[in-house]
Order: sequence, then C-alpha cells, then structure tokens
Amino acid sequence: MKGFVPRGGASQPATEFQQRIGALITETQVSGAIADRKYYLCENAAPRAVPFQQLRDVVQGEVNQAALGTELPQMLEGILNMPQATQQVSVVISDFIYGPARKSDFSQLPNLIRTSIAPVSQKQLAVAVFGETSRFYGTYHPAVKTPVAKRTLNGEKVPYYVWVIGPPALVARYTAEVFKNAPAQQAFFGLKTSTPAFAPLLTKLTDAKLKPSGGTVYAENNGLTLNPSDDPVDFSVGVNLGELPAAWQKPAFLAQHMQVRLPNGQAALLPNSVRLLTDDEQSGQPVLAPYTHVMRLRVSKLAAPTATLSLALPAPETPDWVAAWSTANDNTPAPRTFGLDQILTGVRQSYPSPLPAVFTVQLPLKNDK
Amino acid sequence: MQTFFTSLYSALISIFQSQRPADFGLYKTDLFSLVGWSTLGVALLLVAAFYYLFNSALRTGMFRTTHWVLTLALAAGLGTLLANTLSKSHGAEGSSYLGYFMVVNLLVAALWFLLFSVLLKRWSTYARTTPFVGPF
Repeated sequence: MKGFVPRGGASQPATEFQQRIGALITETQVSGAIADRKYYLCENAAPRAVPFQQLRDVVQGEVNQAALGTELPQMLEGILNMPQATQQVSVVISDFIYGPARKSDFSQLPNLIRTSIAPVSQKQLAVAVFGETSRFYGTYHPAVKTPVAKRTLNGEKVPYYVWVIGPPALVARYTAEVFKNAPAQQAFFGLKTSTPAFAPLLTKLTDAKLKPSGGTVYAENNGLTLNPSDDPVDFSVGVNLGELPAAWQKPAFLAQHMQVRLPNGQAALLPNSVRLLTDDEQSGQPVLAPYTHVMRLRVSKLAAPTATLSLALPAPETPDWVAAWSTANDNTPAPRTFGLDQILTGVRQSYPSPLPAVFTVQLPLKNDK
Repeated sequence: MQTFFTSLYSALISIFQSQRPADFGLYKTDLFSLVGWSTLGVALLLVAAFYYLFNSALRTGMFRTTHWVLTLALAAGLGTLLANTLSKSHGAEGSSYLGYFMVVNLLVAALWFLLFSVLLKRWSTYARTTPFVGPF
C-alpha cells in the first residue's frame, strides 16, 4: 500500500490513488450527508483509530514504514466486528491482495471471504466495490510468491479498491452523494435504495411528448384507470433515481435493465423513452420537479378489472470487468489482482440468487369499463 | 348524488366523445358533482324568480312564453359558463372534453329549468299556465 502514496513534491504528480482517495476522504470529512465519521488504519492488528489529519498525511505520503498488512479476511472481519458496523457505512481502501499464509487456504478463497463478511449475509448488507489502477512506487508484495517474493516497482500501474459496506440504502447514498468521482470499474452487491418518488404524469404538462396518448387513461385513487382495449395506452412516469450510483442513472443502463411487469395484462417500457429531466423542463413544468428521470410505459392489455403494474430495477450480476481484472498469478505486476473473481464470488454468495431488486415501485391499475 | 351526476354527465358527454381525458379523475371526483349541484341550484333559482318573484310577488307582466324562453336561455347560458369557470378554477385543462361538458351542461341546465317550471308553476299567481297549461 505504501507504494501508492509516494512522498511527492512539486516535480512529481500525485498518483491516481492519492488523487482519488485524497478527494474521497476530504469529501467524507466535510460532506453534510455524513453525520459522524471515524478513520482507522488497518496495519497488523485490529483497526486503529486515527484522526483525519493523520490519515491525510498517510495519503500524501508521510509514512515511514510499510505496514505489514493483515490478511484480507482478518481485516474485513475486524472491520465488520466493530461496534455499529452493521448500522453504518464502512469504507475499506486496500489493494485487496490476498495471498494466504497457509497454502491450504487457497482452495477456499470464496468461502473464507464469505465467512469473514458473515454480517453481510446475516443482515443483508450491501457491498459496493470500486476498482482503479494507480502508479506504484516501492516494494510490491504479490500473492503468488514464486519466482520472486517481492519486487520494487517504479510507477507501474497496479489496482487498488474501495469497498463500501453497510445497510443497502446507506451504501447507495454514500456512493451517490459522497463518492461522486468514483472510478469507472464498479460492482454492487445487495444494493437497494429506499423507494424512490414515483408517479404517472398525466396532467399539467406542456410538452406534448410527455402527455398520454392512445386509449383512455386518467388518475384516480392513487392509481390509474385506463382502457387499452381499442388503443394501447401510452403514458409517462416520473421517478427520482438520485440515490442510484451515477453509472446506473444513465438512460442507456436503465433502458436496458428496467423491468415492467403487469400480471393479467401486458405492459412495456417504450424503447428510447428513458431520459434525464433537464432543469428547464422542471422549472417550466413544476409537476416534474420531484423527479430526475422520465420514461414512457405502454399498457396494451388489461384483462382483469384491477391489476398492479410494477416497475423494478433488478440488480445486475457481477460485471464483466471483474474477470478482466482477475489473475491466477500476480507475480509479474499487472493491472490485475490475484483471485479478485474468487474474492467477489465470496461476496456474491452472501446474497440470494437472483439478487434482490434495487428498487420496485408499484402502480395500481383499474380497467375503465 | 355524486354517482348520479357522474353517470349523467359521462353518459351524455360520451355521445360526443368516448375518449376520456387524462384529468377525468378530477371530473369524476369534483367537477361533475360541483357543476351538477350549481347548475341545479341556478335553474331552481331562476324558476323561483320567474314564477314567484316576477309573477307573484311583483306584477311585472312578464308571464308570456317569450319571457319564459328568455329565462330558460339565461339558465342554459349560465350552465355553460358554470361548467367552464368551475372546471378551469379547479384545475381542469382546456380540452375537447371540457368543450363537450359545456355543451352538455347547457342542455342539462335547460332540462332542469323545464322540470322545475313544470313542478312549480301551479303556485304562481300570474304565470301558472306559462309555458303551457297543466299537467297539474
């Protein structure tokens, strides 16, 4: 880890680690979204509480000796065993290089990780994983110790990770509001937001493209009454997705993943209809103000007198970059981490299959006979 | 009565337009009964004024069918106006549905006026046979 934080100077630019993590701990320190924060260094024993200034010193390179480092499972266990750890967000910054001292442990990597984060299984905490490569200066200890047990690197890029562990809605909030400049490699497990603000948009709209079209549809008793028997009914819905990670707020992602269900009927998300609302639209049409996104739904069949339409974002499975960033032999430094896929398999196994939906909103429908 | 007004108006409007507007919920919960009651009240008031004020309490000589028809026209006009202003002031959007609602309420106001006339004219001093004799 020490190699990520060289003691720079005017002539030497900060490493990616120093830029990203320096910004992250600063935001954590000053953000109004956080009620209380504590900082710890995980060296070779239980996490040691340190003041913010000392952590900042470490990030900018004021470290004299390299920490010996704890084995990954012990470190995670120590973090999750801290009082209140299951009610708060824990942010773990590490290279996540896990080379067990006992050779026999190698056969059990996913299980060892899963055991070490047992509270994640028991309390269904969420885990967000962010990965980035950073220039590294100094002694690098790979997990695979042959042919060489350590190397000296001079600016080669190796990965480090930020894990955010905690109650699902808090992890979502921390990610969206504090870790705003997160790197592109992201993986989320068990992430759930609180139920977002959601409503069908029917009236008080000036934009013709947002207005309902097709058959009869009108709002009644917190739901919609509609009649798709002659013409399919198209209407817009507004939803506030401000709590989702930035990558998941992108219309392309949402269009691909959002799921519309209507038992006893037929409903779909219209292609290319998911989009972000602009400030102009929100100020011009106050009815849009509570929402970040609009999308357009089509109900083409409603067989029962009443039905419930649900709109959900199913949790994506482990993303593809994880495999690309994993290696079975990290003895030659590369932007890959030993057994990353196995480590995250351990995390993934802490949740049911398929993963629970990130959020679900429901809309009661009634047939207008 | 809300159900009565809703069925009455939506049935009559559907003669012109079967497609219901996006703010139909507002019509259903508020506008039909509000406009329905107001129209009923206005028709009753005008009937009472015609038969009991101008043709009982006062002797104005305005008992002819022409006067009655003019009062009916006033009721119908007020019906249209009420449908428009009450709907707009309660947030209804300008739409063809609102237009047909105004037309329908014109007819409904005239209908109430006719009905109340038939029911109430017999107790008028000078206009008990306006616009026609009987039935009571």
